[in-house]
Amino acid sequence: MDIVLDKVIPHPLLEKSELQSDIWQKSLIFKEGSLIHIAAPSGSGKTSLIHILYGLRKDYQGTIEIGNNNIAAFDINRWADLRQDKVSIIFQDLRLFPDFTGMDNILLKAALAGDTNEKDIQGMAEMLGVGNLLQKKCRLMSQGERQRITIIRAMTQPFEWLFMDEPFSHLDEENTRKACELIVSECRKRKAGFIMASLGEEYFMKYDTKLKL
Amino acid sequence: MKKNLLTKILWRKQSIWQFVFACIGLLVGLFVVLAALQLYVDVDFAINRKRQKLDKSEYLVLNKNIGLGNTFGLSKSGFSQSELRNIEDQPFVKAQGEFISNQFKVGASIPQLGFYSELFFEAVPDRFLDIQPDRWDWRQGDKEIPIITSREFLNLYNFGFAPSQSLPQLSPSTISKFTLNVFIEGNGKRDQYKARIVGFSDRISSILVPVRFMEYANKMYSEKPAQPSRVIIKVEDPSDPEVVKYLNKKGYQTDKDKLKLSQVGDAAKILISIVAVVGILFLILSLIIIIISYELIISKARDEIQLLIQLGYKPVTLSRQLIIFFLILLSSVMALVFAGLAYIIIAYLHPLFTDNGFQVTEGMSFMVILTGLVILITCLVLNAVTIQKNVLKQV
Repeated sequence: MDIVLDKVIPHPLLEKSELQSDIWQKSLIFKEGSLIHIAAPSGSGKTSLIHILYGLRKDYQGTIEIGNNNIAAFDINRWADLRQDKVSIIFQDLRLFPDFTGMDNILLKAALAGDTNEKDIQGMAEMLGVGNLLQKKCRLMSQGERQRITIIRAMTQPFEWLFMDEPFSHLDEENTRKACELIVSECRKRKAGFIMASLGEEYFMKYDTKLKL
Repeated sequence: MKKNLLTKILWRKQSIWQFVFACIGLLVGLFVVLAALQLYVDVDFAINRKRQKLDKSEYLVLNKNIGLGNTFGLSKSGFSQSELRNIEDQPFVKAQGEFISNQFKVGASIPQLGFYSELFFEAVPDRFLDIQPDRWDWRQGDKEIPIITSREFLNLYNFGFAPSQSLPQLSPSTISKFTLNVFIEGNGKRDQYKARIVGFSDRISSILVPVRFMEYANKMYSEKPAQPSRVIIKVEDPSDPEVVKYLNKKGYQTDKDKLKLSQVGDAAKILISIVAVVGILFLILSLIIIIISYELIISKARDEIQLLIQLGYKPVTLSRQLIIFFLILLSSVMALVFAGLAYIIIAYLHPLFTDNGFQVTEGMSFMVILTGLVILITCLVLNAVTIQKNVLKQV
């Protein structure tokens, strides 16, 4: 499904005159399956955009359509349906349950898709170097380890779009590369598109579209 | 797996004991309410049945309260002529008859059984009898005195006297086949008569002989004129408060359970209702505690709930998780209450009724089961709705 933005601008940015953005106040379509990079300097509303697209914020002007439906009309159950098998997300602030293990955090999400193949999860964890951490409580992990758990969590569901908000901020180059590999492979499997929002870094991925926020 | 994790997340910060105690309160409240309802139904049924059985008419037998004065011979327990007229004058009295009692010594034996006992006789006008046996008429010279006795006396004999004396138990038909030897002594004379029990009364608690025999025997074997010690009256409605008022004012008793029965029944029902109200309060309080406990859990788990929603969980899924615990507790409570109540009803309550001569319906009243289910479903629904509302509030 396509994502269509029409003259969208978050309320907090309304006062900012001289907005030079490829996205705010513009009309554009993200065609399904596209790989999109959004370079967003601080304060440009990067997280706002991701959160608006994911339904966490409603304070914006303009219209957004996902799959030909105006998301302003979505109620809490409609968003739940979307988040279960159409849209996946990697939060900038991770958002894990700190007192639960890595595996439990992942399973909580995987259970929604009905898919609880622990073997696959183990495989992804091995790939990212956190295989032996799955039984550790997230509270006791480093930021980098947590971030990798978050990435794996986002991969355990079906999706047509993956939203990423600074997904590798705590990872070193080697781990970043491995993570990119995983994400690209999983997106390809699903024929899904992704929107990667970062301060400017393009990491180890190829994009169809590059935009400035 | 998911259910387990969800449960862990949502319940982490809450102690389970609050719930357990509240559910115990629910259990107690529900038990009290249902037990009271069952008791109410049983009392109502028993009294109505007894009232019907005690003979559809409205006859009351009156006697004076016996006090110390009687024991010391200072006051008479008989009704004077003026007292009798006063009773007859009462608006609720439709008919009145006097009991004549024997003024002589009388004893009877049943030779075939080796049974002998001192006895008493009473006589009332025929129109007050609830049965009209074939051989009730007696004329001077008749060989046999017909006797009507109370069915209660037969029960007393069968279940009290006979076993203790190793005597056989007798059915109404059997006993009427025996001939009794009756010995009457008084006024310097001593005679033997034959007698036979020809009928059993449900209305009058006595050993009755025909009026004609009693008048004859009193004349023959006694010089004392006597005041009737008991009076039988026919009233429109024995539970008429005017009747009770009059009897209390005059210090008369009636041996008719009917009167007492209504009063006792009503008093019992009032008591039971009060208990039921207490039970209901208990129930409501416990339910409130449970609802508030849930509110607390949910608000404590606000962050967790928000994140779960962001991950794609639906509010109703979370509510369902929360209420399942309550559902399990509630079902256990329900099972315990119904099982316990059923046991008590069958093992203790109903035998208590039947042993005392009252009828009861089989097992737990349908009303009780229905009420129990309605209460439980209401608790469940109320709680479910509140939980869902509270979950949505967090989002």
